[in-house]
Amino acid sequence: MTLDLFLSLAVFGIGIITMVLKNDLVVKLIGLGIVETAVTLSFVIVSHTGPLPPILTLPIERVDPLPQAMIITSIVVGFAVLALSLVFVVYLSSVYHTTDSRKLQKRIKRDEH
Amino acid sequence: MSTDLVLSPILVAIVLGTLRFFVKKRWMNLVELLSIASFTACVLLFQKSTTFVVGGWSSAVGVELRYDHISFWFILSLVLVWSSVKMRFEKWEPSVESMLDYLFASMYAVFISNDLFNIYVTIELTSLIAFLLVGHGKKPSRVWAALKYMFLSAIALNIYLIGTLFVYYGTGVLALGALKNIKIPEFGLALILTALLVKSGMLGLSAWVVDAYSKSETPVSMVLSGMVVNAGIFALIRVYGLLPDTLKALVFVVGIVSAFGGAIYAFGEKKFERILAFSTTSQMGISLVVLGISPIAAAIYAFFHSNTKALLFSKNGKISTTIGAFSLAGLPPFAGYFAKVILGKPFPIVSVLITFVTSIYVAKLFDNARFNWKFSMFEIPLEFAILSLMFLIPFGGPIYTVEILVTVAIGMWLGKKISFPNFGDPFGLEEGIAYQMAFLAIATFAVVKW
Repeated sequence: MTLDLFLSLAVFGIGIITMVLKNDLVVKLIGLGIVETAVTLSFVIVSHTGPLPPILTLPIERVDPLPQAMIITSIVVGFAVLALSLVFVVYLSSVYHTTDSRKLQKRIKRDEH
Repeated sequence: MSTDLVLSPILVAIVLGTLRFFVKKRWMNLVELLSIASFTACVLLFQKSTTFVVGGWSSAVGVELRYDHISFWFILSLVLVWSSVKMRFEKWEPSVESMLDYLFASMYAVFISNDLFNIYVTIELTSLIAFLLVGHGKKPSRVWAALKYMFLSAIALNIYLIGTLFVYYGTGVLALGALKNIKIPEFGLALILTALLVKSGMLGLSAWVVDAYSKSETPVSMVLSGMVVNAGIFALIRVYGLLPDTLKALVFVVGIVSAFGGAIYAFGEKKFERILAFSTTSQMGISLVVLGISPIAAAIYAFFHSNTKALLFSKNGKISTTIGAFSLAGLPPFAGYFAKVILGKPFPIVSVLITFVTSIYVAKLFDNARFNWKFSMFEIPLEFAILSLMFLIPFGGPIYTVEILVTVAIGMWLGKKISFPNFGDPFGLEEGIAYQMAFLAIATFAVVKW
């Protein structure tokens, strides 16, 4: 389990690195998606305390249901954040015809002055 | 019965906010204002401290809620700032008004939650509504500020979730009341601490603060600086008791750095809103330093800060700007003075230095303010709150008053005379993520025993 947890944290790191190094906003959003998936994955790994589903089985060999109940909430929240930021990216690209974050920042700064 | 009373403002706010979508009349604002404020006032007046679990589950499984004196101060500042924003009667579309109601409900839910996962859900709800409000108006600079806010905040909350997961993995419970007597994995606490510091508006860690606060509309700035930033500091107050000593020292260091760094960045700014935005990072840093003294002191500091900053961000006229600026600097009859007195008892030198740097940039606010002698209804709750601490806390003694008066006078004189160079703005999106990761590495290094 420790190795699996470590690997899922590595996926988290990949998502963060994508968000820092890539300039394209859509790629940054994909990086955010990878981060959220990594969190989901680590929750699933920790909840895997047995091979059986949590309904009508002994507490010893079943899957822990509480992390799964929590992760459903955070999947929904993550979806909402992704969808809303995609709307903002679409709006910005419709005004400036680019999704490159550096170009966008430059043009927004120039428009203000 | 008593638990129903605590939960009633959330229900009222959600029902009225949903109703506001369909009843598109201006008088609905008054109905929302009166009913939500009166329900919250009932809670604040009559409710005693309670801890309860929703739905009658055991606290190991259910969601634990807690109303106590820390919640009292936060809910009081929440309802004051929220009702003053509502009392502006902006010519907004009805959807924004109902978003404000939902924001009230989710902020209230933050301030009564006592469970690590519940804090995550409510803070994320609050931030989602805040993103929409920042982006409102569809100017590209606003949308960019909202997008930056979303990216940085989403990363922080994912870090928070992993921290929650480690705490659950090590202990099996998430309710903060049950966690007090158990040994908690310190790595998880380091992750949670990082995320909450990012959410509570520290310099550098929350790189969105300056853009989002200075570019959004005036009432939205009031909401952000008066309400939304309090969510992070409240969660930090709740978690602070669980932290090991190394992380407590780290919180103190971050508070000092943010307090002085934010003030130094505020010197170089010319625009009114940008000075106030850097001032927010500075003041939240001070409230972290105060958190080391006692949780209730930090709650009172946050109360003072949110009312003062909402009054200043409203940019209404000379009266509001003067009262807000004097309170921010810490002059005696206003709330800022009592906040500084609380800080001054254990750390006298830090308190005097903070008062000094604050009064330098407060003097710059008067340079910028070309306002007239205008007074509006919505200032009344905020000004009342700023003056009300006078009756609640006994005076700090004549000696301390003289010290503060002299410091503020020298600081304001310096701020009038000297102009500082602009220190640039190294708080872009990528830099913000890098600062978060660097702090995460430091926090991990502090707890892992090699």
